Amino acid sequence: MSDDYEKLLDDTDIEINFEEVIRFEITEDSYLETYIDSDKYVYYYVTETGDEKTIEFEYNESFTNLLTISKEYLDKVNKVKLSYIKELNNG
Amino acid sequence: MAYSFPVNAPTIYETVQYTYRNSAVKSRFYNMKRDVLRSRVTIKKVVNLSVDRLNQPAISYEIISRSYPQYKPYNTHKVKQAKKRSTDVKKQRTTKHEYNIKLELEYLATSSRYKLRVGSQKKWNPKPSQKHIKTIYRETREQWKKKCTDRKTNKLDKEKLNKMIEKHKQSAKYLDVGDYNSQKLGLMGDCYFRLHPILAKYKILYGKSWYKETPKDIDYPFFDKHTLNVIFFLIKRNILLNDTMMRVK
Repeated sequence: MSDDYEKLLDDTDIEINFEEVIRFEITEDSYLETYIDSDKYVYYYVTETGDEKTIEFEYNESFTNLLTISKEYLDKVNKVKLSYIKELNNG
Repeated sequence: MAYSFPVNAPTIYETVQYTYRNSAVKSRFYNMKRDVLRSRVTIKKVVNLSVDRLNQPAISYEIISRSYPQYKPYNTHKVKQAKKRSTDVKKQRTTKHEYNIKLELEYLATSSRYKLRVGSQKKWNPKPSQKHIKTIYRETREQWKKKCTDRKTNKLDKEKLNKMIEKHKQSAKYLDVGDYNSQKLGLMGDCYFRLHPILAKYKILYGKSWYKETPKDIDYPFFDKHTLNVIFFLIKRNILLNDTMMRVK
């Protein structure tokens, strides 16, 4: 936590960050997500003890170390992402 | 296509109204003033896909924020009391309790239904190890009392006991059980024991609720102080459309 803990922020100081993602729901506790404006993919899951974990990677990376993610899911998400971007570009 | 929420799920407006009108939870409105949002709020537009909805993506919005309670100047009465008694003026509490807030909406307006979670998905630890907690458990006190009692005379050496307690308080990191769960596990008691069970009952809890028993005096979802603060902040910044004409100060 930063040093501004005791500082009462004025509402106008708060930065709002907008993001757009495609999310593929794998189970109730896990999903695969990709950002529209980047090559970043995120695999999110919750462990049995309630720990929230994320693994970040790029599509071109080797997936062999990401054992819990199926390549099939990843390809599906990527396909939807590409068509979504195409749709956005066509207005 | 809009993201599907349970049919009986309340809207933001309905939940704010319930929070304000129900005496059991109304205090969250007053406590909201003590809450501070972190310097960044993220709004995620999510295109949702699942195995059975591959060709029908559903849009939802996710608000991600963190907030913490601000003690100053709300605890100044303690300082005043200390001055009155001419005792040392204790500094106000600065314990860093900070919580994640995840609010999922169908669309960005107060008439939208929602899913919510405040705090982490971890399980509450009702009794952390004594070595972490400054507050002395009853059984620990009994053990230490035995240690400080002369076997022959059966007399308790209070000074020795107090020294043991003082030494322990200096080495333990967390104030009490609630402080441990907040700082170490990211859990807020009000949400863990009251809010999440009722949200789970309405199937609008983001993630799962470890605690199943719903509170006796609360029969409908309400908002905690952190979530209220996020909602009113978003309305003020014209991100959340106030289409239900909710009164915003």
